[in-house]
Amino acid sequence: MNGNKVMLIDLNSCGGCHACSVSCKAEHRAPLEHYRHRVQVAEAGVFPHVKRAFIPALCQHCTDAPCIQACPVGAISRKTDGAVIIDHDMCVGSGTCVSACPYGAIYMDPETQLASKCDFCQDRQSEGQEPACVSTCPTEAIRFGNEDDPEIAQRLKMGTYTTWEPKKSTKPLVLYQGLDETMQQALTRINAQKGGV
Amino acid sequence: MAVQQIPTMCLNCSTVCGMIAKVENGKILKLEGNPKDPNSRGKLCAKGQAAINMAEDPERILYPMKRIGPRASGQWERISWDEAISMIARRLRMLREEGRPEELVLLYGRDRTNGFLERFTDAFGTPNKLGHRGLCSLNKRMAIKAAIGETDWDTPDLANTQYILNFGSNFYEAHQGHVGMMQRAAEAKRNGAYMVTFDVRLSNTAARSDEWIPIFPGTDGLVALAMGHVILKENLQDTTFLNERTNASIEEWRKHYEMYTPEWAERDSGVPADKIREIARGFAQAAPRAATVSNRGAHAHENGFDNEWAIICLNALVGSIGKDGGWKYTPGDVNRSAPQPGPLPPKPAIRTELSHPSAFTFANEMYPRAVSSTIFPYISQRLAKVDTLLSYYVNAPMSWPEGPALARDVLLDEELIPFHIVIDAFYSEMAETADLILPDTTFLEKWDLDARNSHEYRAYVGLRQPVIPPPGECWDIRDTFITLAKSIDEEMAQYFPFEDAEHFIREWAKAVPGGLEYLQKEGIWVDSRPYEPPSPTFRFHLEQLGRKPAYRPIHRHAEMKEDEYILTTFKWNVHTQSRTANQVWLTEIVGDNPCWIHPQAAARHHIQNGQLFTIVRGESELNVKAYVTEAIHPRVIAISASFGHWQYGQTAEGKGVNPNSLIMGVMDEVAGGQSWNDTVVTLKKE
Repeated sequence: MNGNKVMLIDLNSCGGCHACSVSCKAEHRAPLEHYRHRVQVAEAGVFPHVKRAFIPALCQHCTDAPCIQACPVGAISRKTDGAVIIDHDMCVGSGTCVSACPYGAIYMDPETQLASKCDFCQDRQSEGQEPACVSTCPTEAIRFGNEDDPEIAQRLKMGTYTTWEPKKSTKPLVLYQGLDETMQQALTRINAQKGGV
Repeated sequence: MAVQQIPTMCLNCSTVCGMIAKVENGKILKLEGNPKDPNSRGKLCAKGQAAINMAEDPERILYPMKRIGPRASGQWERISWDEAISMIARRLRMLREEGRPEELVLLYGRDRTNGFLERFTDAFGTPNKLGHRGLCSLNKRMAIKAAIGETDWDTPDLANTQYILNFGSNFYEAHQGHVGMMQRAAEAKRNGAYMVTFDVRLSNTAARSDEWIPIFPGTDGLVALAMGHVILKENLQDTTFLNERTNASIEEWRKHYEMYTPEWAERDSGVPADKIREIARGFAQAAPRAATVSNRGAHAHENGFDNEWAIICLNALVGSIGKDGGWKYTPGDVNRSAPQPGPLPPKPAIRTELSHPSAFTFANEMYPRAVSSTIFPYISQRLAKVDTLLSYYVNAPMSWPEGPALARDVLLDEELIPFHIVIDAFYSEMAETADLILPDTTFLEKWDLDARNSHEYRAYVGLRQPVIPPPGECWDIRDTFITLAKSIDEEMAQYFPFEDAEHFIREWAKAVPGGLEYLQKEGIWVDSRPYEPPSPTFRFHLEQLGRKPAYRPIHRHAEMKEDEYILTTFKWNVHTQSRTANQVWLTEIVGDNPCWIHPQAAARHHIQNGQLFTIVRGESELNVKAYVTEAIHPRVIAISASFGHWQYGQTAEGKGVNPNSLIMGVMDEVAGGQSWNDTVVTLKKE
């Protein structure tokens, strides 16, 4: 299969349990208060008509990735399967990608002083495993696979999956089902930043 | 060294999901779900994932320690295990020699040894093996046991259901069946199932439901009775089931439900009568693929037993009991599939006010040693004499009603509790009050056979085994009790003919095909035979009580003034009651517990979001931070458990408040379960 690998997140199934986020933390040991994957919560409405939604948020693996453009040393690149990867041997810790990412998905690791983010669990994939967030999700709200894979292709064909910010889209490979406008507005950058959210 | 994959079972909450530890050089790299577990099916929640934090907590208790200052002064001296064991054995031997074995009280919070603690107390001769059941699910378990007899726990067939009628259960975040239930509910919803949740607060379960219906606390049973009224009035019931499978005729059912009109239910519960009708019809139409789910929200009340009983009756009314997609159940005791190796000691004949409080005759008959809220008040009132309190994996000052005050005061009183031994892995608020601390392993360093009520309706046996060596001188609880029993006297020793915990488990595992070797490799053995539930007579009329499920209004609620509120508590998906606040990957997600309050209530008392205010109940006050939200009933405030630690290590200490300091030990007078969600309070701005 030559297509991109995509992540499909069904917000109608997500129970907001944070299993994905903590599984990611255990897998990659992101420092405390830094996240590769974080579940956001959006609430709206007036009693008793209140709705709450949960949105697992991570690097969107953009096809038009601003971080790739921003990196002064070319340390960020896109693999043939679409995954956007930081080469830590090349990264000089300039931090330009951190501010370039519209989603706040990149953080500076305080120990290594290098930029870090979700890499769709390249290590696990090389061992034939699903990304850590996918494999642990109790409600199977997160799916991952090649867009040519029949099951994934069928979901994409339904046309119900959208991107985080469809209007100024960077063409992410992470797609959400059930992400309405209220929820989009409630979404904030994954990693807080000075002067940011 | 290559990465090892070691199957075991989680115990960061009581759902006990199968897990596989990836271990390298004695260090846990990752914990993953074990796909062989029929309940969790390879999934692990946030707590399970974060259990690494528990094992690696830098502030664990590593050695036996003896108190050298006043109680709770924090002054300790490290001693050897030999010294600790002989000190305890001498004291306990004396109790047996002097014929007062019942003065040993073993208090536990979570006992997943599935019988080993009881083996010790039975052999010793004390009936006082006391747990937290009365603080947890007693009202519900009593109702299930009374109604069907076969088991005390339900596992509704969520995966195949078309209608989930949920009264106050937050199984998307907590509940004994957490991971197994949420994955099946999500599956059912993808297949078009409808889910309704009654709760005072928009829990994540309510948020995931098609409808959240806020309800006035303690009226769930009334609403369920009114739904029954509608089902019978509109002839939507399963008449054959009622006539043939219950101990009452359809006429008796009709007669009993006649008075419970939706209009009455609306007056007390605030749920519109037409909404009650609509849900009753939807539930009945979906039957037999219709099931109720219920837990703390419905039963942790003064009238909790009847609430739960009335809810279960809905399944009988529509004939969904035991049906695919309906309300099902299986026994959950691992000993049914794998009986413990003998010789087992006889049960002590003696009864005490702690083991069988005389005010709770029905509970004592149905469910002995389970009323928990009485323990500290009764010791305080000298209704029971204690010489030695042996506390295992329990944190009473945090988790008992009035824990930080009453429970702690009793624990600090050397006349009431002359000798207090605490077995724990962490320096808890309980350990603080000990005379002697024995270092426990975490679940990642210990042995058990374990199982839960199966959501696949097949018996299974899981193995909990050490995936890393215990640090310092931490001992597996079975090693502690085997050593202690052998040190007390020969009569006790005869019931413990085991070298160590591993030896015991090896003997026990012989009950499973392939024995311990199979379990060490696979983690879980699943019985290929499906469980065939007997068809017991559903008891709509209870002889012991001489009546049918009723609505017992809570008087202190009926008398509430406009500026009074009901304090309720809840759990977050990333925490348990009192044992996770030290786990950094969880506390970084939820590390505080502000008080949920509706904007109307906040405005009345000039409380703004994030501001401090005071909750008052009699002489007790608690300063809390406001979380003003539309997601709560206007007459209710809610504070989560898990915080308010003054011990438990620096990650846990000083975060949030403990709402239990305001909640008195008040029980359902029928079943004995604690009424956590009935406390009437007033609010005061700082």
